[in-house]
Amino acid sequence: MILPKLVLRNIFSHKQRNIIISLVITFVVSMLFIFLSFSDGEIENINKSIMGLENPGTDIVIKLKGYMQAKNANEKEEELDKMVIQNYPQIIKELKRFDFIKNIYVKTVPVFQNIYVNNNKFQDFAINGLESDNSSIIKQKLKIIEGHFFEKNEENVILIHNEIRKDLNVNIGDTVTIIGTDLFGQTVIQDFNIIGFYVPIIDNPENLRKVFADMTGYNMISGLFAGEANAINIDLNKNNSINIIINKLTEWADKNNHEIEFNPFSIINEEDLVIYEAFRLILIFISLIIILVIMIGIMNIISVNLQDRKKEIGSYYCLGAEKRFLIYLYSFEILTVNAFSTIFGILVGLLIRFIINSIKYTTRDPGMQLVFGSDKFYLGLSISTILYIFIGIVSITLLTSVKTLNTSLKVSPSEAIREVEE
Amino acid sequence: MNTNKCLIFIFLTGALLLFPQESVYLKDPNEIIKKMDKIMYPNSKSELYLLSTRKGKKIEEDSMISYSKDINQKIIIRFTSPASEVGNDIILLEKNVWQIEKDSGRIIKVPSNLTFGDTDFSYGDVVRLNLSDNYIPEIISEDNVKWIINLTAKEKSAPYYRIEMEISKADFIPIKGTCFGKNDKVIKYMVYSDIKIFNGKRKPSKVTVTSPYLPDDVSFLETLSEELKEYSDRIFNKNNLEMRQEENQ
Repeated sequence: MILPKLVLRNIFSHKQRNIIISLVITFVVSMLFIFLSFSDGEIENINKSIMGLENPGTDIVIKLKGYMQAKNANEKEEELDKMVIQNYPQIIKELKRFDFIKNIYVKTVPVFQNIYVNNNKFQDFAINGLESDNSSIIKQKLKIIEGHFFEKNEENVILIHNEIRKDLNVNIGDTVTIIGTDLFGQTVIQDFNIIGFYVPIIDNPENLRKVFADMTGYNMISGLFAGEANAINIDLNKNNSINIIINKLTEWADKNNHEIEFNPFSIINEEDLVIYEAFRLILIFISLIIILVIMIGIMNIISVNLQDRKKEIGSYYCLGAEKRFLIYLYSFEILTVNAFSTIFGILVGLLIRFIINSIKYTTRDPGMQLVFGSDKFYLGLSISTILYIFIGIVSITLLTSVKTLNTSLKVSPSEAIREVEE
Repeated sequence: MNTNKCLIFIFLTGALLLFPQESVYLKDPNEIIKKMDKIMYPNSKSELYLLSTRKGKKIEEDSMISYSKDINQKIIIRFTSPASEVGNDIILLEKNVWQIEKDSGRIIKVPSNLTFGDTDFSYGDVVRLNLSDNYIPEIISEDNVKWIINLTAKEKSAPYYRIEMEISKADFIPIKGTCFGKNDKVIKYMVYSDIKIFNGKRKPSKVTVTSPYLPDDVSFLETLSEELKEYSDRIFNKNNLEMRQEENQ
């Protein structure tokens, strides 16, 4: 109990020094927090924008049996795309009976095709298939600027990104011809009617060339037959364990002779966001170096300060304190100052984040959208960022302090006593 | 004179009856297609020239040398111009097209319908996946001059779902081809022209490709020379894209 009292006494008796150290650490921590929040925001934006449209987060993904085995055997993406589920409408109909399932819908892979219109060719559009009645998840992420979403009886119809309509010089009701290669390598051709122009709720330059087609049209250009699908996504109601549900569904599939397998979304999609997560790792590494440099500087200040505290140290030695006790005492003192400064720095960072996010800065510049991860500049928030900063500061404080104090507390008893006498 | 004419007439009729043209007997569309493939795609080293134009302006121009075997089941294409394409060579093996990226040295699989730049000419059109192995033929009509044969893809991976070929009865050479998608819509037209003699055989040296959706775009592939040559199987492998062993044979 004496240790905390001594720590507090020491902190308040060296106010000026500790205030300066606190300010430095608060500033550094708040900047690091903003730095890493930027990366969190990028990843969150990507999840909601591109991934939200192309590969929305879900709980369970149904694939053809043997898919994960092929994937783990490093089978090529184009071969994996050819593994299709048969008779998916029947599977969806049967699965809807389970009360733990909140949403269930077909998930298609994008097929890259060219659009021919008005004797011009426009290359590399990603065509995704959507069902009219089972696509609420995607529908929520789109805003139809003009036209309408697919209706049940409509076939060979498409939705195009609103930003592209000028380039294509098309309007609602126009017919375009889509020519390209299907999933199996065969050249395909199909006329589509434009029924609407959309804008994603959170946009990204990569979305510009995304086209949504009804399932009949999509099947024609993907090479799939009616009833075939690449995957089915399942969103579960809350408070359901994914693994337990997967076991239940696997049993059901085996019983009903469905050649399908169920996997958690995270396992199917671990390659997604690789670039942004790699960028985040680089940021973390850089911030570690920054923290280390800052702490070395701070420890230098402390060791100089300890030179001036020989009288205090001498008193402790005279009272019978051992070197180890003094190391604990001064380490705890530095740790307390740094820990409180870190917490304060994070709070300042949260305030800055709140102010910046409330500005709601948006941009139409594709370059900036790539940097932000979408058209909106957003600083994200994750527990891992806060924990990382806090643990980083604390652990580097301990490492640097033990090393520095070990050297600085080498005061000979006679020298210490002389200081006391003086 | 009349007697002489009669004798000549009888002689010619007899000759025709005794030695009829091969085409009179050939009714099996498989045999027709195989014969055409054999004439069009012998084991050889050929010089090829590809030109694509849009509204008369050149948009793509490539010169290539091809080394082929087994009726185009095995082909290596080496680009000789332009400089930007030299080194990005292609090999067709087991119905798959592979390309070497000269900058990285990587060999990647490419779809056979991948086009040359902005043109409508695909790699499959150049390496000319042979028809007899990839399609099921059926004679849909004929006259004195030609057969019209419908070719339906055997597998999903064949470049086109259906091709309608006009084949000359006199030479078993293609006159015209139309490529269709699954929904019977025309994808492209191919016209074979500029008949020349290659190694004692008459065949078209030029194939012109057009699309009904880009009427201003015209592409053609011309065979400048053809040298019959037997290559060993060992040169037809992906590693040889880098090693170029066919040049020593």
